[in-house]
Amino acid sequence: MEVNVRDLTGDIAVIQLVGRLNMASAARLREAVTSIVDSGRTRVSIDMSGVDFLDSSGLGAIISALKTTRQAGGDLRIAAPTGQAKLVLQLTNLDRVLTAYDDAETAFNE
Amino acid sequence: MVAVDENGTLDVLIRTDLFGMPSDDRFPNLCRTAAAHYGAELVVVAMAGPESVWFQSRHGVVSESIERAGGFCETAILSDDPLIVEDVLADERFKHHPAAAGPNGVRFFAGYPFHGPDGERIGVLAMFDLKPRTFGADEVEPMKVAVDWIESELQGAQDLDRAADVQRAMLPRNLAPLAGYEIAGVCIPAKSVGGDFYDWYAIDGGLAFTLGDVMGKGIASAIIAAAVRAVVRSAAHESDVVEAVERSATALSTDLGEVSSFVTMFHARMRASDGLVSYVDAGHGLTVVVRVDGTADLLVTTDLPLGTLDDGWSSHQVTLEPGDMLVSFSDGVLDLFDGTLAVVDEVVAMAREASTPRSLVDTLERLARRDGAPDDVTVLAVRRGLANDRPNGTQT
Repeated sequence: MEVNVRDLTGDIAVIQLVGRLNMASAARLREAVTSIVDSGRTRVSIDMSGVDFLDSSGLGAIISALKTTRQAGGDLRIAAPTGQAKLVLQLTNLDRVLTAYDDAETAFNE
Repeated sequence: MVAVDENGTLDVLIRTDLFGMPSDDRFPNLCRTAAAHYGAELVVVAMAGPESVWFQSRHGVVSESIERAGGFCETAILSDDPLIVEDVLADERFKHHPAAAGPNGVRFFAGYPFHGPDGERIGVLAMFDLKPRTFGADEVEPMKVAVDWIESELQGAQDLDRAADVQRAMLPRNLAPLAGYEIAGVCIPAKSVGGDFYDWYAIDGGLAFTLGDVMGKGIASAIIAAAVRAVVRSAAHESDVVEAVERSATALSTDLGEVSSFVTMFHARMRASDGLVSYVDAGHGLTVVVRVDGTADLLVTTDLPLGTLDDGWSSHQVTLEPGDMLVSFSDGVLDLFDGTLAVVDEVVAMAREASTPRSLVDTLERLARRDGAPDDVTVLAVRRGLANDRPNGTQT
């Protein structure tokens, strides 16, 4: 899986994920978020439009990331999950706390 | 644990449980790599069987086994040290061995015995060549590395088998907790053990049942699943289903937090007298009631899994009328079909077809085993009997 991080103005970082977010790649998402928060940015937006598979370990990494940002006084938002990833969020009711925004760039504008 | 019996034949402990018999190619890369490394013609991982030595993995060898008595492999398994025969025709023990006969006979043998998980000698990593060669200590050393690896693999396999036995033993079985109801479940881990579990037990005036799915797969998930099951059971005396889940969540929150895991769960309490089911759905989402008239209701789910934000759980009610069947299943079932929510309709159709929870569970188990499910597959089904059903209590 590709994990691309870029900064927006302010304290916002966008993580673009491409590929399968599963047991093998979950740790990389966790590390990326930890390193973003350690560098002082506490609002993280995840672009999930390129995630073609999400398993429970991947979901666990997103939940960890949400907790990490919130503990630092910020927040985590997700954008554009599709297909199977969207279904996993829906079944677990996590779509209730991780509302899907249309665009990762603007997720914190709303 | 090697002995020679009164007939003078080898009596090693035969561990058919460690490998499938006759030949279960568990170390194919090892044989190929060893053959390339040494430039040897034939390499086998051989295990002692009752009368033969079985080549569990082999490179350059066509047959699956050879006779045991007096052969290279048997002698090597009996040896305390590696058996190195640099020139077979110069060795009194083997020069007349049938395998050494003719111009293409075996001229070189190196065998390093290995042990089973309980320390008994059970097999040998063996190498044959068609020309004599010298074989020094520095060449024996890589064989030792390979044998250490084989032994640790066998140890790991046995640990996993035992863990799987324990996990199976923790599933409920043959009790008949409730007259007038039938219940059945199955849990098929994708690996030897997994993070799914189901459970049921009698409570005052009825039955409690649970289906849980711990994040991930394999041993780490299985350890957490055992803790979750125990904690939820310990809340059995709570008459309120929400109290039971909240108590469990509180007890588990530190552990789940430490390992960054979470659990989706369907937990229900059913009143025997009228079939009223009170349940909490903690991010499980896959429970359906198939009515006696063939219609089906996917049960309401609103709450988060345990170990996520723990922002509270709520109870919902559904009544099982005579002939209705409640079916709860893990998301691994989705992967048996197209992976979408359309799978719920597939399960409903199967439940209509099945006359009992047992036959529904059996059907899904066959599918999971046939397709080699990529995720843990767990199904729990409860049916309230019709008034004219024969009283048959619980099946497993």
